Amino acid sequence: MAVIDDVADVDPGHPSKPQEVVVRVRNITKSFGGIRAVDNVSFDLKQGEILGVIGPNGCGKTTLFNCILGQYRPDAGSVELHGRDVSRWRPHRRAKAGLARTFQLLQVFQSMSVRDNLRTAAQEHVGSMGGRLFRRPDMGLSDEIDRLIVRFRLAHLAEERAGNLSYGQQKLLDTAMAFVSRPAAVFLDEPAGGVNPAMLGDLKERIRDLNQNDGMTFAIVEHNMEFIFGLADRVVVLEQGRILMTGTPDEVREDRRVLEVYLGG
Amino acid sequence: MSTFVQITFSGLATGAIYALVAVGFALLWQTAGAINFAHGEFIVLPAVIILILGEQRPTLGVPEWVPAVGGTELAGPLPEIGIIAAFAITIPIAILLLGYVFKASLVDRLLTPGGDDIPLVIATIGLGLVIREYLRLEFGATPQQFPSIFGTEVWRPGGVAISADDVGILAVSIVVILALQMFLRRTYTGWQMEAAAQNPNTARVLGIPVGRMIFYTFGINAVLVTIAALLVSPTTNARWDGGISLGLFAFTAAIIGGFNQVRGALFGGFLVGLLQNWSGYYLSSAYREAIPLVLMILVILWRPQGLFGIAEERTI
Amino acid sequence: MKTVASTAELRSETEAVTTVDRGAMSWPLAILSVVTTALVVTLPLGRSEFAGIMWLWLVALGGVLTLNLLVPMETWTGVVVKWVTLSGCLAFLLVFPIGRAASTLLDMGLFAVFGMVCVGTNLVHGFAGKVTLAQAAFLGIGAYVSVLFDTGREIAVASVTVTLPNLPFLLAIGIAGLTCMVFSVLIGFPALRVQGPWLAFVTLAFNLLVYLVLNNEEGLTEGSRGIRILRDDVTVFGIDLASGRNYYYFCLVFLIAATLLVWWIVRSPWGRAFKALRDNPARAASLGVDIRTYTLLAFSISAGLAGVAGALYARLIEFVDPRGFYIGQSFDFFLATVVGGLGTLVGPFIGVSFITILTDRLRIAGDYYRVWFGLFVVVMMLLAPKGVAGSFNELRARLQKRRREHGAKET
Repeated sequence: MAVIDDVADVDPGHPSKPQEVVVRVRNITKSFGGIRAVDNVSFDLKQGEILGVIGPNGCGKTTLFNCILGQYRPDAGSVELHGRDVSRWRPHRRAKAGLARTFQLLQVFQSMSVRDNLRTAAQEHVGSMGGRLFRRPDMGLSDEIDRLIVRFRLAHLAEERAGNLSYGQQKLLDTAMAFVSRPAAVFLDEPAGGVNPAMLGDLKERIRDLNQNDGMTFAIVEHNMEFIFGLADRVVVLEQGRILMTGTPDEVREDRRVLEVYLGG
Repeated sequence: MSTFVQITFSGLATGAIYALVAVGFALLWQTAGAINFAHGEFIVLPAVIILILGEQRPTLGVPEWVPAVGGTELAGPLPEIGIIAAFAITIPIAILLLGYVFKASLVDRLLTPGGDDIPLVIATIGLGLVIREYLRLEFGATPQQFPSIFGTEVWRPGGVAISADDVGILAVSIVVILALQMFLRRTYTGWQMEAAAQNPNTARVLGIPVGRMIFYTFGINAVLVTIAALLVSPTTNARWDGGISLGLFAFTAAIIGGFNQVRGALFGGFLVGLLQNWSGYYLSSAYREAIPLVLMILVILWRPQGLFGIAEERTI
Repeated sequence: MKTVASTAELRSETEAVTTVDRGAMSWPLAILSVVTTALVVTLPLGRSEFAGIMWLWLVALGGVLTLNLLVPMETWTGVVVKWVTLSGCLAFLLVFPIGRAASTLLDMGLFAVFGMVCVGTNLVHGFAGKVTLAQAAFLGIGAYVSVLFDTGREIAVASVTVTLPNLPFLLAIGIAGLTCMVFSVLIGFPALRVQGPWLAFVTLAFNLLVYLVLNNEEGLTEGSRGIRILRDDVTVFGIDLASGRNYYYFCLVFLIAATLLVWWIVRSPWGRAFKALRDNPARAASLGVDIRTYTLLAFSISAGLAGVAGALYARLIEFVDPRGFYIGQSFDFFLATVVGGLGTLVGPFIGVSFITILTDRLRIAGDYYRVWFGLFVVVMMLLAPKGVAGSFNELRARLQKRRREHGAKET
């Protein structure tokens, strides 16, 4: 298990990380029958950064993600991807445009093999509908998928039915599926949830690897503080649907308001 | 003009029945997530039970040991009382069978939170088949006459022909609907039920015993379909295959009006009844059933939650 | 497929994975299921020659499935077994019309024709995960369209009279299929705009609408009188189709072609997309799978297959009338396909056996078979919701997993 060197990873002012905004979220508000789950949330997701989204239970983290990625239609607000307004787009269209995600509830395709899961995740971003019927079954993506399988240490399980994998292995597959289409940004919803501590380090390595070697941009909702503070460049803290503060993990850790919110002070 | 009033009145009466069955269907869907494709058969079954317990036994070939209620002669005095008494006894039978047994044996086993609701849909289709075919085999394929508790008189105020049956249906339905609304809005249990129906998860968080509320919903549905059976069977006769079209129009009404609001289902029911009668007279008698179906398809296209419904959250 | 979603609901499932645990099976249920299965499977015996054949077929398929279960597919033995059983089934289908009575040949023609409908239904429900209840409507549209174009009739709709050209049989079949595909897109589009059970309701409504038109537009369809259409004059590629046996083989060709088509689609990226949207539509959408388009594709293909089947059906029974295409028939097709097994290629072949027996039974009054079949469906949903073939598949997956774990433990 790798030892985490926090300081080196967390440096928002590092000159080699460009500050182009990939996803611009503005004024997202979402209510469910009188309960305001998300209240006027705005933030930018910058190219190449890992953004953590934390907050106590019920603060609206997952609802926020659902609004950004299209599962819910927000009552107000907008979402822009590379300057394009995607607020009205359905989820599959946002996915094709480059917004990938995982869900809190593990969602790989149980009845298909690991390789087929990845193929499914990749195939919709290549070619056309007709091409998918008449051309090669793998759409020319075999090499790419093989590389990803190796990278996520799933090579010995490639032909195995996804439903037969352990929970942690399925989680790795889930993350790999989000990444296979080379998205502009990946939104992970509680990736550490239910994963045993032995595999957590592995997961963290994968994410850091993708971030540093491929420049992948991440937004991660998480409960597991140690996990997120060891990964994120910046952290957004939500409370009752509103942004409490934004800052580096160190800043957040030392902020009194955050401590109060978590400890019920 | 008088024909219009006549047809409208008759349409409202038919619509009232559709409203009752649509509400039951919608309540089960909204509260328990149970889409019951045997809903139509749930209406026919009580009708047959009422007949068995009431006056029509001789023609049904019912075994001797099944008790008749309120006299055994077809020609006896006030045969309506027999039917009403039979109805009163059928209500608890319906609550037991269509409420408790249905829920415990099928719905509870097949509907798991976060799981798939298709197995229940399929099971209810199968259940509908079982009831239909059993009725056909045991009680014959010929439609059974069902006496109207309101009699067969026809009044003619101002030249407009209005049947006592229609008046009775409307009166009873309106009373039932008002009672239901008052129960849901004014009583504590009713309020809990509405909350559970609107959003089961929030209701649970608020401490409402959602499981029990769902059970009550099944009970209420059983009562509603039995009342509907009493009201509709004189017109349509009790037939083994009546469930198919009754069920279909229950769904149609609920979907058009809005299956996640009680008043939506009510409105949908009345609308379907009116549309059927109007189109039957003014457009074509053969296609009277077509217009509500086309409207349902259009509603699903433009406003799936129904004319009065609330938009669902998922956009995929 | 739940139409109401909420975060709380999702959150409650954080730790849960894979299949739902239904707990221990209850004894009364177990007994009921055994009795029902025994009745459903043995009741047809001795009733008619055809019922006996179907029983044999079901047993044979059961044997094939069990064999596939016990022999791991990855090994050479598995491959050999697979090919041998496939050829065996094909041989069975080719050979059993020999020396049969005319009525049996008719039933076997029904087997082939209804088999196509089940293959289509399996594509929409077993692979794409949607409940569809318009099989009878498409069967009817296909039947009537092919009959109308095949005999050079004169039709009158809303005071417009048109004389239709007399087209060769194969062309009429093609038009029948295409017409159904067009209709399916028209009704599928509204039904699939939003996630939910809408397709079930729209297809039911459509079925009734089609029935009303077929029954009332006498200028078009002769209404409830029906249309007689004999087979003696039909020749395809020089082969005379008048005999029941030849026509059965003709229909069988279409059934095999339909199966191959679906097999090819399922093996392609489309097939993966279908499985994805059946297993988990939300995840599929988040990966770029256009649920609406794929479901519409599956639905229209199934409609096309049912349309072609309808065209064959008309000539098979040499008579078309609206009563054969009522809603109840759609329920039968759907239930039979579900019982046969979801998401497999064998499933429809099991389902169609039930369908043909059911249709056969209908001719004999006072028979409880349909009641038992309905009960069978209910019990099946409680115990094995994936149907016969689907359950075998799941069982095999579980055996695979145990084999792998066992192998891992030993290393």
